[in-house]
Amino acid sequence: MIARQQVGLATCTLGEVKNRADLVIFWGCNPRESHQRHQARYSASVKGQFIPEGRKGRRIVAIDVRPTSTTAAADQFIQVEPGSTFETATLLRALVAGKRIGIEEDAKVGGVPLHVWRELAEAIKAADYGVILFGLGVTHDRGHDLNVEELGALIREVNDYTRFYGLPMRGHGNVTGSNQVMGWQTGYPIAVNFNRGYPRYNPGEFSVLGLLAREEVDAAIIIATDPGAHLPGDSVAALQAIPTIYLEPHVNTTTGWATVVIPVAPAGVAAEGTFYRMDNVPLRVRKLVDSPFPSDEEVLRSIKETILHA
Amino acid sequence: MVVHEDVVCIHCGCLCDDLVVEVEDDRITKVKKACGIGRNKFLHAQSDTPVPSIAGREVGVGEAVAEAARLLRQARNPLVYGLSSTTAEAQAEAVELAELLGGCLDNVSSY
Repeated sequence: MIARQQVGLATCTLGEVKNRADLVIFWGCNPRESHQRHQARYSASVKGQFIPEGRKGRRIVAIDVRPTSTTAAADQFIQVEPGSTFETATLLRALVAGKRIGIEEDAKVGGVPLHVWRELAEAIKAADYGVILFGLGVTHDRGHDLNVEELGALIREVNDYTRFYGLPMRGHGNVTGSNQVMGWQTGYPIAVNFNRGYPRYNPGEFSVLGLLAREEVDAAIIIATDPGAHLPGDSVAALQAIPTIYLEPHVNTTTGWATVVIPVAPAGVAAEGTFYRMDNVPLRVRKLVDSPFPSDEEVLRSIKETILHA
Repeated sequence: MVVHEDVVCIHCGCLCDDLVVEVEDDRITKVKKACGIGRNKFLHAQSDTPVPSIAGREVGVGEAVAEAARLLRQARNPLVYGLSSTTAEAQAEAVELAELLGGCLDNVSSY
């Protein structure tokens, strides 16, 4: 998010990846385990309008710190050292731009010989339509948003030579929608504060981890995530020390300690609405069965109206 | 039995939109075309439902909502957080609630 605000991101839909991409680089992600149908539907074996041969019509490169089922199924696996995303993306920028690199061809950058990176830079420039699909291995590596910024700059610069795009492999169903909705309603995709009656934005200061670490919030309402499973232990302890209201369709690690638990109809199963795909395409999710409980939307509206009319 | 075609999966950011879901007596009985994780998500969607509660004491949903409103109104700087696996319509309600409360609003992509 922060990186996109700094350098932007030349991006595309998964439909374009399917129909056009002849070079696909999976960087710091393992879709064969985390997004199991991604390669078959959008990015590897799928046949596309301009890639009629499917898998044979694409060159697949996987960059990761360890072998995975995704790296095993790639045409090329570049095994990098942990913490080297920024450095290797910077090197690729220099190679794509044809800059002189002042080291020997077999000297290593990020644990990989320079000539391997040079060949990758040439393959990137030679592609008709390339895409980097990046995951938590990039965003949660040392450097965090700066890594994405560097990838964004690389992708933009490759567009001087060919069509080249980046797409984050977003995890949970509608995490993309939370950025979209906050963006269109407050102007900011994350970390918003309304203390002064208007939205202020400051990642870190108003991010969940910072707020909890400094014990700056004195109550919390948590919707459709499991902080007990995802947040660090000290953040969970900070939540346990304040009144915490929890909207959730299933028993999990947070329902056991939340002050108020409100069961809800699971979205896309017993409640309809809009979800945003990882490429920001909105899709309608459906109500297939009835639930004895109201939806998140209905509960939040009831809470809001109770406060308004108190 | 009702067969729902072209159902959108809610598990991950792929939102595969070609699932076939069979429903019998308001229970999901079969899910086709989904990956293993997505299939389990649908098949288990109606089980392990928590009970509405306040400090561990079982209450009705209405009472839980009233207590939630009371706690949030009382707070000086409440946090509205999460939003990764719910609808955009619910997310919009959460934004409005955070504004009404004058509190903080964040989602799971800030860390």
